[in-house]
Amino acid sequence: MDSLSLLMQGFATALTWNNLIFCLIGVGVGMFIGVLPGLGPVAGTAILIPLTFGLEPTPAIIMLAGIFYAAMYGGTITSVLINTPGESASVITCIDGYQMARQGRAGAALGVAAIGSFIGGIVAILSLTFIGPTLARFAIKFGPPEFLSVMMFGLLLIVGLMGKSIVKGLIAVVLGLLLAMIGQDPGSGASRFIFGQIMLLDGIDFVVLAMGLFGVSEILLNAEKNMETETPPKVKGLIPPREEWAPAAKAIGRGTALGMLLGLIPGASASIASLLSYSFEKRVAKDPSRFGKGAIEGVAGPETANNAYAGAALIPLFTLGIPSSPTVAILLGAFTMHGLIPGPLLYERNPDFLWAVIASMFIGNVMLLIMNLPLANLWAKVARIPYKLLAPLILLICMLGVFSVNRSVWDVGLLVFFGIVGYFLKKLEIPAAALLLSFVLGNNIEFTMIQTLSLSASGLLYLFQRPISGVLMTLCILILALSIYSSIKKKRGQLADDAEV
Amino acid sequence: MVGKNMFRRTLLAFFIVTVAFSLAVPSMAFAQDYPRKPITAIVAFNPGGGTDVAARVILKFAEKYIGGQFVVENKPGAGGAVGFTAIAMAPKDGYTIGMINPPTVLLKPIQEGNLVKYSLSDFEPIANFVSDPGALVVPPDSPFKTMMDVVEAAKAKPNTIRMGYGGPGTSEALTLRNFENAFGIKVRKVPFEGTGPQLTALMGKNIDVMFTNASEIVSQYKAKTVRVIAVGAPKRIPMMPDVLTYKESGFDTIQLAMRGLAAPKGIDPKHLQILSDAMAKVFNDPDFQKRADELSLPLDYMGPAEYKKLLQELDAFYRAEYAKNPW
Amino acid sequence: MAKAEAWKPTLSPGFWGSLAVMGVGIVFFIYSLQFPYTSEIGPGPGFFPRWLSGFLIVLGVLYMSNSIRGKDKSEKLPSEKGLSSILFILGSMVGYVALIGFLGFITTSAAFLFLLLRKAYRWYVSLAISAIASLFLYALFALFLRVQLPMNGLGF
Repeated sequence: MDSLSLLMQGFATALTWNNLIFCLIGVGVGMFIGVLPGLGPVAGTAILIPLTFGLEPTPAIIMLAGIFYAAMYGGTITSVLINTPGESASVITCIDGYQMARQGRAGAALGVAAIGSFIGGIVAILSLTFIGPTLARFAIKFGPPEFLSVMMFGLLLIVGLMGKSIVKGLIAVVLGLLLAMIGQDPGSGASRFIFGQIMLLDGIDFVVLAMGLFGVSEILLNAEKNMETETPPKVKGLIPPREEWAPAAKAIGRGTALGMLLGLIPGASASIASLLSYSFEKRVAKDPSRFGKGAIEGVAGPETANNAYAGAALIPLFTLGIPSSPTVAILLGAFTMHGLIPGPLLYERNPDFLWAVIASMFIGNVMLLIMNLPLANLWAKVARIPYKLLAPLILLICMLGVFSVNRSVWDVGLLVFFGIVGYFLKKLEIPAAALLLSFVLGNNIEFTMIQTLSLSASGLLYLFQRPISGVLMTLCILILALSIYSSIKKKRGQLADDAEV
Repeated sequence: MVGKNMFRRTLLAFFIVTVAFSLAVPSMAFAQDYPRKPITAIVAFNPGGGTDVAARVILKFAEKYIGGQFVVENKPGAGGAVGFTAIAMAPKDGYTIGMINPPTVLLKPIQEGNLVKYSLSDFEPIANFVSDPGALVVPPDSPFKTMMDVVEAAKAKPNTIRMGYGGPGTSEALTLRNFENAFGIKVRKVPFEGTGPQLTALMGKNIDVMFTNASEIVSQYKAKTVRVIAVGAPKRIPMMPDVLTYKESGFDTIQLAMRGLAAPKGIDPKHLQILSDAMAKVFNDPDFQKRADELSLPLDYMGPAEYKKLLQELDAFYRAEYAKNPW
Repeated sequence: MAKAEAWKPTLSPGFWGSLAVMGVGIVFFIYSLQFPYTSEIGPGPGFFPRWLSGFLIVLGVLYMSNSIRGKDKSEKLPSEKGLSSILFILGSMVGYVALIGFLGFITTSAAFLFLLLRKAYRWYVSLAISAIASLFLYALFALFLRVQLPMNGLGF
C-alpha cells in the first residue's frame, strides 16, 4: 500500500496548524459561497484566487480546493429553506427539499444532504487516492460519442420530470433546448438567436436561468398572495424517521456512483450530475408520485451526486492535468499560478504537496460534516424569519449573486426576465425543472453530435461501433421501447399520476 | 400601495435619488503629473483566466516603475468583445487602459461587424506582453514525428486524420484551412471548446492530432504525456527548445495568440510614453522574468510602434482572408 | 396578458399560455431560417433550431386545443391586488438594474430594499434595515469576496 503510506505523510502535513486553518477557511468560505444564491464555486474560486498569491502553494491549493467541494454542501441550504438554489448544482434539490421544509422536515433534509454529501465526497477522494490513475485512464476513453450517448440517456430521463401533462412537459423540454441554442454555436461558429444583443453571444448563463426560474419566480408567486406564506413548522430533529433510512441510503449509493461517473467525464458539470440523479431516483422509485411532495431520495440522491462529482472531477486534473469542467479549469489555473504542473508529474515532483492536498480533502469533508449537522438546526431558523423581511433580501442577494458571476448588469436584467417567465410557467403548470435540465443538455447534445459526425464517416452509426456508447445507446432504445410499450398498455396511467414538478 | 403614506414615500424616494445623484458627480482632479490616481485596467475575461493572471502579474510589477496603482477590472462577455469595446470607448484621460488579445480582438469586428462596434483604429497600443504560439500536438506514441508525417498520412488517406481544433470562426480554424490548402490535403476537422476536452480526446485517442496553443499544454509536454511536433512562432521558443517551428517544418505560417496592453485612441502622447516606458522596464526586471517563467508565460515584448505595426498587418491579413472566404 | 384575461374571462390562462408558446415557436422558427440547414458533415446550425421551433409550434397548437376543450386546470392569473404587488416588485427590480450603474451599489440597494420593505415596518425601521443590510452586503461582497461592484462617482 504505497498510496496509503504517502497518504499518511500527507495527513502529517495537512494536520499542521497552518494548513488546518487554511482548510477551515476554504471550506467555510466555500460553504458560504454555496449558500449565497447565484455565487457558485466557479465564481467563488475565481474571485479568491488573487488572494492566494501571497501564500505557499500547499495552503493555497488546500484552501481553493476546499472552496470547490464545500460550495456543494452550502448550496443545499437555501434550496431547502427558501426554495432558492444556492448554487446551480442544487437547483433540483429545491423540488423535494423545500417541500420537506414546509412539512417541518428541513432538519432531516439538511441532515441527509450533509451525510450524503460526506459519503459521496469521501468515496470520490478514496478513489482518487487508490485508483485515481486507473479511473483516469478509463475516463479519457470517453470521447464525444460516449458523452453524446450519456446526454441522450439524460434526455430520456427527463420524461420523469414532466409532470401531469405530457404536452406541457414536452413544451418545457423543447423550450429548454431552444434556449440552449441562443448564442454563438461552437459547432458552426454561427451566432444564433441573439436578437442583435452582443451580450447574448455567450448564450444564457445557467445561473441566471436557474435563479430566475426558481428563485425570483417563487417570490413573485408569494407576493401575489401578499407575502403571507405560512411560516414552516418548527424543525424536528436531523435524523430522518427509520422507514426513510433504507431508501435514503440507496439514493446516496446511486448518487455516489452517478456523481463519480460524471465527474470523470470531460464536459459534464455538477448540475448535470444532480439533475440526472434526481430524474434517476424518480425513475427507479416504486412510487414516483411521492416526488415533488418531499421525497427524501429527491434530496439525498442529487446532493450526494454533486459532491461525488466535485471529488471525482479532481481525478483527471491530478492524474492527467486535464480540467474536466470550468470550475476545475480555474483550479488548474491556480495550480499553474503557484508553479505546479498538474498531471503525472505532480506525483513525481511534488508528492508532499499532492498528498497533503488529498489528505486535506478528507479533513475538509469531516469538518463540513461536523459543521453541517449542528448548523442544520441553526440554518433552519432562517426559514422562520418573517417572509416580508426575507423576500426583499432574497431578491437583492439573487441579483447580487447573478451580477458577481460575470459582473454584468445585463445578466441581472435577464434574471428579472426569467423570473417573470418562471412565474408564468408555474401558473400554467409547465415544469420548469424539465426546462432547466434540457437547457443544460441542449448545447452538449448538439455539439457532441457535431463532434461525433466529424470523427468518422459512418455518421451516427459510429455511436454503435464503439463499446461504451453502443451499450448506452442500446439501453436508451430499450428504455424508449419499454416506455412506449407500457404507455400503450397502461394508457399513460402512471405518467398521468406523475407528481407536479 | 394605496395609502396616505404614498406622498411621503414618493418624496423620500425622490430625496434619496437626488442626494445620490449629487454625490455621483465625478470628482474633478487635474493631473499635474501622471498618474495621480489609480489606473483602471480592463480585462475582457473572467478573473483567474490566462489573460487576467498575466495582467495582474505584469501590472503589479509595473506599479513600481510608474509610481502609481493599477486596478484590474474584469468585463467578460461575448468572447471578449464586451471588454474590448469598453477599452475602445473608455475616457481618453489615461486612467482607463486594458488588455487586448490579438487575434481575437481583431477577429471580432470582422466576423461580428453588425454587433461589435469598435475597430483596431479605436486603440492606441502600449505594449505586447505575451505571444503564445500555436502548437501541433500528438499523443506520445503517435506515428507522427513531424508535421510532414501528418501531411503524408493525409495525402495517402484523405479525410481520415482526425484533427481537433478550436471550432469554426477561431484563428485556429483559419490556420487549419491554410494548412489544408498549402499541402492540398483534407483532414477530419473536429471542433472543441477549450483545451481541456480537446486534450482528453487526444489522450484517449479519439483524435489523432490537435491544434492548440503552446502554453496550454506545456505541463503535458514536460510530463511527456503529449508530443509537440511544431509550434507557430517565428523562431523556436525557449519553453520547448527542441520543437521545430511551422516554417522549419515546411508550413510558412505564423500562429500566435497575443496578449498586450492598449489605451483608447486619443490618449495624451505623454501618458502613452509614461505607460510604455514603465512596461519596458518591467520586462527587464529579473524578478518579473522569474515569475513569468514560473507561470509559463511565453513573454514577447513589443513597444508601441512595433506593436501597432504588427496589429495593422494582422488586421489587413485577416480582412483579406475573410473577404476571400469566411472560415 | 393579464389584462386581456380580465376582459375575456371565458378564456383560460392556458389559452393565453398556448398562444405565447406558439408565438415563441414562430419567432424562433422564422429566425432559424437564416441559418444553413445542412453543413459539410450533416446538420448545420439551422438544423436543430428549425426542428425544435417547428415542434414547439405543434405543441402550442395541441396545448391550445387541450385548454379550449377544458382539459387544462391550471391556476388562474392573479387578482388585481396580487398583480399590483407583483408589478411593484418587478418595477423595483427593473429600476434597480437601470440605476445601479449611476448610483452605485450601496445607494441603489438601500433604495430597493426600502421600497420593498416600506409597508412591512415603520418607515424609519425599514430605512435602518435597508441601510444596514446594504452596507453589510457591500462589506461581504466587495471587501471580503472582492467582487467589483458598481460604484458611483464618489466611490461607493
